[in-house]
Amino acid sequence: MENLIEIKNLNKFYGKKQALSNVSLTIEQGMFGLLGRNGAGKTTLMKTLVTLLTKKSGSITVCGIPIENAKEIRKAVGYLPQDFSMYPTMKVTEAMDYLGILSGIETKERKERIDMLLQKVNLTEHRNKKIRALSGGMKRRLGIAQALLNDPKVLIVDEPTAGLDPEERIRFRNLLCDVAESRIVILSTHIVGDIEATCEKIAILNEGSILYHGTVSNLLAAAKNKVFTKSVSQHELPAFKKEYYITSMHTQGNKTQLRFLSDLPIADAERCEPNIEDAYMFCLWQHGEKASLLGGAL
Amino acid sequence: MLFLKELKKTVFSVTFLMFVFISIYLPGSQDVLNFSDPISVPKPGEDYGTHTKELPERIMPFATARLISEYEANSYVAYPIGFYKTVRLSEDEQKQMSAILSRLTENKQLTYEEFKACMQDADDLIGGASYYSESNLVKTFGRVPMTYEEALEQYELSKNTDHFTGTYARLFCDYIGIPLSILPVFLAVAMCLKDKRSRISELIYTRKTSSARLLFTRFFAILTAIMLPVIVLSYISNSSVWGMHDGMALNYMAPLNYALGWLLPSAMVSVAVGIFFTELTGTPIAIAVQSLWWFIDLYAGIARLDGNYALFQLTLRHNKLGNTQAFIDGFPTLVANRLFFAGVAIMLMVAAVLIYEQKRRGNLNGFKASKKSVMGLANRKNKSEA
Repeated sequence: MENLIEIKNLNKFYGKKQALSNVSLTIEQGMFGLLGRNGAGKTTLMKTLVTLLTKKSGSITVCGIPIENAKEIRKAVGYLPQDFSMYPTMKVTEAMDYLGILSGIETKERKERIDMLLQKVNLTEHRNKKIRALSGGMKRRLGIAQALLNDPKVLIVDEPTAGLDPEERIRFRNLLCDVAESRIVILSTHIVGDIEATCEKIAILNEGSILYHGTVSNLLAAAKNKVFTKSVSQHELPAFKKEYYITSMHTQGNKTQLRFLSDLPIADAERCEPNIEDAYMFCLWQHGEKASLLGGAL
Repeated sequence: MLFLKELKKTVFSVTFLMFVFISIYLPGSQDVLNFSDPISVPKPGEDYGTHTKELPERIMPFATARLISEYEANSYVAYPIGFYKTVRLSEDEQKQMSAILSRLTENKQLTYEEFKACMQDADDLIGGASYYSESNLVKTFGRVPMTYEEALEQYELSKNTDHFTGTYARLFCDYIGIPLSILPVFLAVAMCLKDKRSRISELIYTRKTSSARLLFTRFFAILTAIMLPVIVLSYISNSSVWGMHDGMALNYMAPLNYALGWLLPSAMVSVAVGIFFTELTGTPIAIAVQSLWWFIDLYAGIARLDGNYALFQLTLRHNKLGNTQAFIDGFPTLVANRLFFAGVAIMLMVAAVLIYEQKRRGNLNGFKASKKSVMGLANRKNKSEA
């Protein structure tokens, strides 16, 4: 069965509020990034894919299994929720064993997989530690290990790097890339840097709708010739902020070096190559978000 | 394996330690962990105590005299759901009571059936649960000294039917049954809320295991954790009398049989109420529900302390050593009662599984739903006030 997720015209409501609006996506094997602001609908989409929420309309198949077949979907999917935790008084191996039993894995296989996964996430030496004694980074790595217990075809991780220090974040991204070699890994985040470092294919979600679905290089290409840098004085800055969307700024003495988006060339401004953060903001800007983006830096 | 994991989770919890402590302390404080009175053959001339007997020639004059006295004072005693209450009748009601008393005192040929009908009318007038209700009449006015022959008959029943140990096991059940109808709800609530507190619910929801397997395994694990110390205590209690009846044919299985047959259904209900309401609301409200039920049931059962079992009584009482005849007479009701409550527990668990399944699919969020309902009610109230 092909490793493929197909989402067609997915709609989801919370009461009268539409959380997902006609979402259609095809996700193939490898890393897939789902980018969007907080409240864009990423977690709703993730939870729908792992059967924690039911859809209003549309269709989803995960590796050929319709989403309505919750039991089979649960066998095929591993999930690391945004708010990940385990019983704090359990030891690492006990917690893994408990979740392994709930996944229906036989004793011998369970033991082997727990050993292998703890080694993979570099937690073997902490296997007898209680969950509450683990650091934030260790907990996230344990989160990946528990999500891989049933050797899923699809791994879904929701905002996994929030709150991690830079070293742990890099370690975590590498780990995700590692496990994506043989499966679909969907990384949902609002941190653009995570996507830049790991994903080739992405989707941008905003207010429940897909704004962009494609490769990172195409997203960057769309923003080509739209990103500029300019040095402005302190008194020019407020007016500039009102007119352009600034993606970054560095103050040096009386001057501030700005990086901003513009459809047309600006006098004294230099064109520069867009990075993924610029491209993401340009995408939002293009889709009617100009008003909300003006007035400050990212 | 899942069962052992759930059992371990239950046993290594503070709530369980408290349960064990109370389970030891309560029967210990009532001296039922170390019985000191053997059941011995009655000897002629001894005081054999009293028992209740339906003797019309005794009950009729005593009950009538008591009713006259209460009528004259216009102060009638009643025990609705076990609580003491005095009732004062209106002038019109007193007239009706006077007519009842006339029927009782003026008819010299009054039969026992007619007498009981009069007493029922008097009880209805008082509002029920008075001394003259059907269940209280014999108990209040039929207490008579036991004769040697009756004491001997009681002894023979204890020896041949209960094999002595059954008698003590029943008395132990009477005491331990009271905490066992309420304490397990704390354990069930704590275990169910543990998932929420540890924020592990979503990880469990997305596992392959079925909701039925998970919840019923939890149910049986909590029950096992509860019943193991109860069975041990039951044997500790019962073994204290084995030496007193040396050479007699004792039933060493009695503590186990009584623990499982008598106590287990009460514990099942308490655990099932805990799981059901916690899964439904995501709050510890089950403790309040079970406490209220337990409290009403216990006080309503005060009239049935020494082995007069009722079908819908959660905590069965038999607060008397011996009284085997009452046990034999009430056995069909007792069996029906225990099967009924075991059935209620299973039904609650099936409902809990259905709720859990809906929660897994995001269709029901207990706490949010209850909060929404409460807020909705509050808003409606505010609107109507405005």
